[in-house]
Amino acid sequence: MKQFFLLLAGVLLLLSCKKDPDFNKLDTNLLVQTGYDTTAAFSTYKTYAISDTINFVSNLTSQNYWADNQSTKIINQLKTNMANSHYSLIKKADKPDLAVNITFIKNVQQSISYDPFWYDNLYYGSMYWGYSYPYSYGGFSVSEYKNTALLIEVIDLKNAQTAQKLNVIWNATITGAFDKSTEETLAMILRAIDTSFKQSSYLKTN
Amino acid sequence: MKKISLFNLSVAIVLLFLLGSSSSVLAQQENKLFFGVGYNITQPLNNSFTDKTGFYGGHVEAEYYIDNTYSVGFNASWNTLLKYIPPKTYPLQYEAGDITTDMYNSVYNMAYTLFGRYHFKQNDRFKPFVGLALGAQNTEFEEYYSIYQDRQNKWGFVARPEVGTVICISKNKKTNLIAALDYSYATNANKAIGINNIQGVEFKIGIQFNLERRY
Repeated sequence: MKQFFLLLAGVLLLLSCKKDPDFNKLDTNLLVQTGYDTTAAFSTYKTYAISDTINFVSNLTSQNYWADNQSTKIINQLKTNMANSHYSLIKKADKPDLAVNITFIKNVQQSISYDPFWYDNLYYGSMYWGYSYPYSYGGFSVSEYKNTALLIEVIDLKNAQTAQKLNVIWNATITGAFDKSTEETLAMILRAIDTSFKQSSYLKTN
Repeated sequence: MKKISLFNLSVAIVLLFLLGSSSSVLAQQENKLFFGVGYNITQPLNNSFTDKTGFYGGHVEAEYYIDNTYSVGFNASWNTLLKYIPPKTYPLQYEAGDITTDMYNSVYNMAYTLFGRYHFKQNDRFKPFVGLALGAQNTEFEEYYSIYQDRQNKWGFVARPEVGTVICISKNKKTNLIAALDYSYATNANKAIGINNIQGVEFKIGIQFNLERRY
């Protein structure tokens, strides 16, 4: 009978063996999605303006802007890419053709669950959105889900009067397991900004 | 039509096998019921979604020896096939734009089969066999990219002819090693990623125990 229970335990152990991919490897590259207005003639725009701060949207704080060394590096990376696309940076007061808008979104949600049979937290494999820092107390486990994204929008100011609205003619959404706290993640964000321009070869002027 | 033919052929083979076993006049085997666990390595054959050898697999099975020649049983087996795709740019399907990401493709198969085996030799240390397993297979097709996951779950019919050998490793013949090679054909399809069926060659090695107590 002892043999049988050993066997049963082995079976249960083996039955749980679904191999997950290496999530750490996926965390090293951010997802970059870009979209554009197919009616926009990108070469007709020559100038742009950009704010020296990044819009900040979060359920953690009421602060609505991000201004520090990191945000400056992100803005500078955008300026470099816009310059490589031959767009000229001018002041907002000089009536630019385009406005570049950057928004950082960071939302955090926590969930608490109880499972007396799982003293180690194994919830890494059950996430769909966001990433987590799970920790547990006995059978209780607390999961923290972070939704982070950097949004870049290029807005048509040149035709705003005619169109009677501000059209977003290009946008980039950068998502992944990142925060705005380390040099490593900053490097990932800067690399992702380069990627967003690289995959948008139409975003250029003469 | 092809699936129906395969199913009919499989049923016919099983019926012939059971007919043969019921009329067997060979000596009865002393240890009849074995439980086993083992490790599986899978090489997928027909898809580029996950074409790398899968080293994450296993099986559990119960095998009942009708006599020294024929056995029948139940097998549950599983394997995970993973493939990493480095960062690549894809055009968006429904709007103007592109997406760049790296990703993992994953196929997780869980098969539940009834099998029959014909053992060529009796009373030797090595007992080679041929067999056929038929049953149902559940497949999870998954794509992991960045923090997202797409998942589709499909059920299908699976047929698995096999060749292998039982190696007796104990004097009382209550413990065996078992090694086998099988070809697996499952009807699990996922049109979205261009998979019409799942085929693979699987090598498995395991251990069997007889748990019957004699007084």
